[in-house]
Amino acid sequence: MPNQNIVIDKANKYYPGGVHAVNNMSMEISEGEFVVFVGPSGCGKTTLLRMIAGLEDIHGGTISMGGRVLNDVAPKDRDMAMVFQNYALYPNMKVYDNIAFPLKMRKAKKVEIDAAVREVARKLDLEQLLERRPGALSGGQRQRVALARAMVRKPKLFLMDEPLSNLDAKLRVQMRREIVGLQSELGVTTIYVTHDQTEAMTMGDRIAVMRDGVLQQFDTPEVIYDRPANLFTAGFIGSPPMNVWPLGEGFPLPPGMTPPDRATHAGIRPEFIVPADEPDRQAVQMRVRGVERTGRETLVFLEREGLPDLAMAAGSDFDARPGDSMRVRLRTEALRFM
Amino acid sequence: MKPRGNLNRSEPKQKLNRHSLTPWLFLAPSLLFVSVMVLLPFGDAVRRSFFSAMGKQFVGFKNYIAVFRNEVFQLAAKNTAKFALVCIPLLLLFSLVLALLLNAVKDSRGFYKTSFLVPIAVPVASMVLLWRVVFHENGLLNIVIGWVGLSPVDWLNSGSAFGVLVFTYLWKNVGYDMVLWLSGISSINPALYESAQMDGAGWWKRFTRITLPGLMPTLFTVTVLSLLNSFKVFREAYLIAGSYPHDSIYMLQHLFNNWFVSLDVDKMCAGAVLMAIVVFLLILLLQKVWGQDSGQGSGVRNKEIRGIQERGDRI
Repeated sequence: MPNQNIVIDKANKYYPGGVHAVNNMSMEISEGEFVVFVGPSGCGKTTLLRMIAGLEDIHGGTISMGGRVLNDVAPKDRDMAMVFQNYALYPNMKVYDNIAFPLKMRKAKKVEIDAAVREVARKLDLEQLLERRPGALSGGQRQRVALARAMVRKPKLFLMDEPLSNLDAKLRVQMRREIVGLQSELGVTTIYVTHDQTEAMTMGDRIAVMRDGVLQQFDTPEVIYDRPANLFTAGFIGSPPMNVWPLGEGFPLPPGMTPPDRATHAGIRPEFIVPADEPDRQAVQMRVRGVERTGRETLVFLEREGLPDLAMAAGSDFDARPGDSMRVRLRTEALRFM
Repeated sequence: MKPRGNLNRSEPKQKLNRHSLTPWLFLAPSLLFVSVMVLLPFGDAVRRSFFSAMGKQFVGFKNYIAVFRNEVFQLAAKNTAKFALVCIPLLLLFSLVLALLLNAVKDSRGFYKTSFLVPIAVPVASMVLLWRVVFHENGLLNIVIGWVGLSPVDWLNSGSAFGVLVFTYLWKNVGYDMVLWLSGISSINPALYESAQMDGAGWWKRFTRITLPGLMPTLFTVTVLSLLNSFKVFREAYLIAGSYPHDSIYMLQHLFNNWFVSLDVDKMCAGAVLMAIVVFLLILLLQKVWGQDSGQGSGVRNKEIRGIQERGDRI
């Protein structure tokens, strides 16, 4: 069997009113990979997902899986399963029938359906809930049923459209781990859409950062965090975001360091700004504008006339108050250019 | 209906009094109006149904027995029931099909929607004129029929009068019911269809597994309203064919009207009370059927049922 890589080749999508929702998007997703589409709302991530699913037409370019072009293939013939943001469970059917629905529609045998439903219910801890209707379930349980319904058919590709956004923070973290665990266990290629950069960073094998229908960067979380390709990615990934300033202004580069030709900005992550000792010649005096304690770390926001504002991530025991003056140093080996 | 205050029983007594008064204050204007215009007259009708026509003599169930034995009442009751039984399924079906078609139309949906709503806005009197032109023995319909080579029919003075009345009712109500269906359809989560599409469900399966179950609460609304409207078709029948129309469209209201004219107030009141009881029982029955139907969205349904009851009271 040929590999089931998904190849998106210059895919485009226009909405009425001249909105170019997906703009010449190209990427290749390997079989078994967990890829996250991330970006602010309106960036085209959900549209692209729906184009892959077949729920939206493709206006130019191709999307293919395993070498087969999918542009004109009906959604049901694409061998994909989707988990929707609002779960899209059939309200009049019991949990059992919801999970069994995709198999019933494919006219599987009753015995096989039953075995498959029970297996996936066991996996997702839904055995006690099979006779209930979705209306009688909690948000987390509904989410599980939606996952079960997607998994039961053993598709070649899972599509997930912000599946955790309706859950509370604690449950979201738990489901996040659970989905990642299930995915690696099943080994099914998964595309996951979210606007939450933490979800993207923690879940994806690779992350596709998008803005205004244009792919900004497609790489592993580590690379995206460490070497953002442009200002947008630097600002979108990481909390607080990377500190950036135009080249030639702000902090001077250390001698011997030359930025790449096309670079316009320099940047550094907050954890690479450190308190400096008195004799350090490269240190700068700055004023503390604000302090945020998260428990695990202390975020210090610094300012000084003529310099860009900086966010510094220090240890939880770091002590500073707004209005304080302090000396900080940039660990220049962590400087990035974009 | 009893107003539901936001009573918190643990609160001190003073507060409780004020709180239990508040809902009544809000209800007062409409309650006053409904009392004067509906409840009190109906109460009086119930009282009169047990008394002789003009006198103040209590006659027990005599009026009711007389009404039950009255052949014209039997005919009218039979016609009214038959009309409801024929019309309501037809109306439900037509309006649902129209709503589904309209829902599938993307462009100029508003235009079609308005077109189907026009019959509601057309005054009955002008409609009656048009109907006379169309359905008269020498009317338009017979001319068309003549072209095909069929012999003319006296539409309004034969058994076909029933058909004309059914048609009138459908014409008048299909737009309204269609709008109700459309609002029901629009309340179904579109992701359900997309999910079903990906799961491999064709349009028929999507219709039977998603649309129909999703429209159950609406079906209740539409059925009850259609039932109540089917009693109101008298207006059209009366204006087209007068006090004594063809036997096939002699409705209960014709009878009530004639009793009223001949001052048979006792029988009229007994008949009205009987009809009110039947309508009330029918609605209860429908409610029961829907209550057991499925566990889905019962909160929504209860809300809707309450709404219906309020509307029903008014009608």
